[in-house]
Amino acid sequence: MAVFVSAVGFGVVTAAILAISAVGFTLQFSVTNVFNLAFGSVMTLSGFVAYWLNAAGLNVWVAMAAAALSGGLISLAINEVIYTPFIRHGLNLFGMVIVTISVAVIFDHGLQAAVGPTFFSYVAPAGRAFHFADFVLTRQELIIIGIALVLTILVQVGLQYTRVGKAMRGLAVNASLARACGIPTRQVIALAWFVSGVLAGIGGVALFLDTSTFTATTGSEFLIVIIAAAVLGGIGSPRGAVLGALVVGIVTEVGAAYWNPELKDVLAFGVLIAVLLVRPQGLFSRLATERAITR
Amino acid sequence: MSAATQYYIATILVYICVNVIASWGLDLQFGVTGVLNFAFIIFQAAGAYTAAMLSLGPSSASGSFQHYLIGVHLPFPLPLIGAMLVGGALSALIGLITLRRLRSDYQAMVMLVISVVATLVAESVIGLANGSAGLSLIPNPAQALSGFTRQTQTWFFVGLCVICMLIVGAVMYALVYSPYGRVLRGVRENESAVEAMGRNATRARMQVFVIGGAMAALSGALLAQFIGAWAPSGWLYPETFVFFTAVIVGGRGSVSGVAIGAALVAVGIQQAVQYMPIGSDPTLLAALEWIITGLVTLIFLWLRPQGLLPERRRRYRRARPARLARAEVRDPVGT
Amino acid sequence: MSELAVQGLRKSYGGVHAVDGVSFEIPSGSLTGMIGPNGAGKSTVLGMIAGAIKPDHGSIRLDGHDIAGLRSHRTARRGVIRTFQAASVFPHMTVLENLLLGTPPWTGERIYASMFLRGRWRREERTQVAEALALLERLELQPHADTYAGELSGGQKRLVELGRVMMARPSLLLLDEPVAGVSRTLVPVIEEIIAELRRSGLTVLLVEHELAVVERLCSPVIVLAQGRVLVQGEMAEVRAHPEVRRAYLVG
Repeated sequence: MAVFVSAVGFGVVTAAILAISAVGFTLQFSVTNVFNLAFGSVMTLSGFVAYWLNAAGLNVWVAMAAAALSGGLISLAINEVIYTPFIRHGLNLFGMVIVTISVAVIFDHGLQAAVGPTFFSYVAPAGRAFHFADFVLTRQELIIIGIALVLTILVQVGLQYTRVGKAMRGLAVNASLARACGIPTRQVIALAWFVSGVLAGIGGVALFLDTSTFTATTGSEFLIVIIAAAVLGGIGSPRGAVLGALVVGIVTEVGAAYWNPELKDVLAFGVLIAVLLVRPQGLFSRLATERAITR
Repeated sequence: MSAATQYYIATILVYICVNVIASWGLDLQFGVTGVLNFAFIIFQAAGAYTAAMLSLGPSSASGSFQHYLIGVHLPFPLPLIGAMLVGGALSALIGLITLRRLRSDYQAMVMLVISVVATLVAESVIGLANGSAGLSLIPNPAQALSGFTRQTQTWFFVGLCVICMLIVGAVMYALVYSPYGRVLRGVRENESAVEAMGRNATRARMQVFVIGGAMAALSGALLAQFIGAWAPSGWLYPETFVFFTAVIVGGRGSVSGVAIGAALVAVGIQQAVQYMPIGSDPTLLAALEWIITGLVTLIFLWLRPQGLLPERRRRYRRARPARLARAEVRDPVGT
Repeated sequence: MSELAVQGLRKSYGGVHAVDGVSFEIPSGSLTGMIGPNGAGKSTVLGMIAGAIKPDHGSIRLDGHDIAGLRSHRTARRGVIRTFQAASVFPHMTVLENLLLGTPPWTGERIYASMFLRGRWRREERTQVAEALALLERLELQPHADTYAGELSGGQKRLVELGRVMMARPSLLLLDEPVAGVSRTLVPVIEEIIAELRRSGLTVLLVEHELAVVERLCSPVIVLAQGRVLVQGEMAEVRAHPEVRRAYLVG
């Protein structure tokens, strides 16, 4: 039982990192319809921005804020400079996926060429350990969970109650109708990319803190798990992303504890495929269902 | 010609043949039929592992330093045929899961996930294919030809690869430039319309998935037998992307185009990078290969999405307008 | 030519009853119109007959056999051929190839035949090409035979689509708003083609939004509103029906 509870504890930490990233990924997809496989690269780049600042002496949490900003800007830049021109050029959605993969490959290996294949770490003490019944969480892990909670609530509130949030939801459901209603789509889309980039940046630093060592490809490797969580919850639904993150996070850690730690991701992926077979639109998401019908 | 140069040329030729075969497989699936097979690389790997296990002999034999599922010592060409069967069977299995139930944009993503899962399993389950270390000492069928020098044996293998490539090429031409190929393109162009005309799009996609998977497996089998080794690090999920680039650069749906694309992208970029004046750090070279591949994809998608040799416009009529008298054409004014 | 009998057809989308108990009959050889305001469920009914949408409930009897729930490629093989609301073509294939994909599925399209029986399918294909070219001449599209269908105008695409369905030799033709978005000059051309098809004895169900089009062409007419059949009968009596007037004013 103790093993189970402590595994769940680890799972919650993983879920927190996943939640931040998956919400970013799914929000951007719901608004822009672009399956952005360069999301992991944005995470990595922002994580490295934080690394350079941290190595120069900055506290890792302040560096995380800088990473958030750089993530947002990088994400925005990629959209403005690369994605939008291709969309205007007439490339269809499948072609766009290949564009995003190309961007990911260029960024990841460009970074790798610059910094080398070695492993890096932040200078960030784990902090004191807090004991909760059968599991232990360090101060660092608690902060990450806290950040995840705050961010997911902020996103939810933002989408529900702010004007721009409602505009995003409108765009997500029916882009042409939204445009016809006078919603400034270009600006809203730009904001969606920025916000998703910010979440990628924070998620990237959180990921690097959790894995303790990281390389130029860690973000893209994690992207598959992020996508799994997002799709499991129903792609396009931030609430679903959080649920998916929890499921994936806990399943992977419990699997690691009881079975084979090297295969923990396989378990999560198995759950994803099983869920998709039974419920092709994912767990949550009325939104995804509408998409399934209109396509 | 020195032995080293001979071996170098032979290597290039083998790599070209192997990559052309694989790229054709993906072209059949993606270029002609529009199936986004993001797990493509695992079918090449399946072929490689199968050919290895069907020619290595039992794992206890070679001093037990390699652990793998089964091991028999079958003569040529059984390992190659076995590899294709396994590639096709694996494709059928994965196709049943992904192509039948899932939405099209999820299909691509689930295939990506399956690719990652396959690598994880291969790395972690040691008894399957020797884990991360992979399989080595894979025999080359040409080595069985006693009485020939090592060099000649290598050239025999090159010949085998070329013959395989020509056979696969003939199959591709027969499939693509035929009524069946027309249905495949219909599935790519407008799935609901092609179904409304009585053609079963899902079945067509399953078929090309299996055939393309068998082609990928053949390419893997030949490659593994040439190199003599095969490990998970050589078939991580991004490798699929290289084949996509080859298809896009060469010309989606064009058989000869994709062959050229494969030679230029899969082999050409790697060779070009070797000759660049940037030192010889292998990580740097590998990173540069990837960067160039990504840039090439973007450039082609922007400037020439139809590829170097675009898909041929099919013409069916044989009646042609009467030809003008040669004199009129050549000299309309009259000098 | 086929007759169709629909009974108790139902389809809901998350609580919204798009089609709520629809029953009607389409006699063999007729050109029946199905009209109704937007949201009446016409396209959904058509989709269910064609097999693109799975009914929640009800039966669709084609010459006595229930085809409800069969997928589109199966209904098509039984002679139920449809057009789409937005003219549906194969964009990166020539107009001629678009028509060739309209023939009923034939053995030459199977892998084995395509690969090994070249002589046989070449001959069959030549016959099909001749038929397609003749059709293109009738549609006045012959100069565009080798043009990629995606490069044509909306009206021309509609003609290509009609050519394709004509190649299929349907026994029940479902037309989904065939003149929507077509330029004024092409409307009479399309209407004449539909009239010709009718004269050849083909059973046609024409779904249309505008009364005028249906008036000119159709004899029996079915009026749908809010997922239900309001009235059916000859055009004259339907037009005079007070409920129809109301539905159109409201809807």
